[in-house]
Amino acid sequence: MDATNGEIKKALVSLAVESTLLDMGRPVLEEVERSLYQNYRCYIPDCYEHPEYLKNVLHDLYGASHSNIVKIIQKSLEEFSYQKPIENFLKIISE
Amino acid sequence: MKDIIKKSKDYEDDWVPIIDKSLTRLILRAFGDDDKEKILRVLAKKPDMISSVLEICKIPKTSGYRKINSLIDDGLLLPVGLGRGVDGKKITQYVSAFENLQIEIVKNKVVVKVQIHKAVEDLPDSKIKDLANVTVN
Repeated sequence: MDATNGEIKKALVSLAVESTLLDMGRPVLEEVERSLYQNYRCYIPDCYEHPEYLKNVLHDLYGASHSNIVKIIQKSLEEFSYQKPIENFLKIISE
Repeated sequence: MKDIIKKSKDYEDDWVPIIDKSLTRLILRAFGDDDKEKILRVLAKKPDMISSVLEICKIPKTSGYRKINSLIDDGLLLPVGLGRGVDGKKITQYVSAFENLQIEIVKNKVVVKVQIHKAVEDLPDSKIKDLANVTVN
């Protein structure tokens, strides 16, 4: 298989974040994408390696209520949280 | 899944991009599970009986059969023929629907591309249904 385990996990996390934001409305997704690029020159998939960027952006945009978004992302990735990179991603965005 | 198998013939390089978001999610969630990924990778090489695959992947039978059944229900494992068990009994052989998987990440876009397994491409729809009725062992 061409796809590596790391690429699969990165895509899985990226899709979970995108779906969560999209469920809250396309403007929410677009705002987060814009803010990630403006502040860190990065895109949603890059947050797999830099979860702190996503955490900061969600906090800056939505204040205390960002924890609700984090909870939905956590729930969506719960069954994969036994895997170290995903556990690490979830841990950092929820700090 | 049948739609994707049919579509694969339209692509010269055999790589079919998965457009549907829910199917993309289903594929990534299957490959994102360590045990399911091992099963799919082993059965992407050649068809085999479930008991052999679980042995090769070193997955305990209880959880292994649960994961195999989930992959069959999702259409990611397909029955392609019959093999012989140690007692000579006919047992269904399964293969991964995809021989290969590619992930392209460009900016905010994640695109999953698959190559349909040759053993599945050549199998008529009716044959798949007939074989699917054989007990999983």
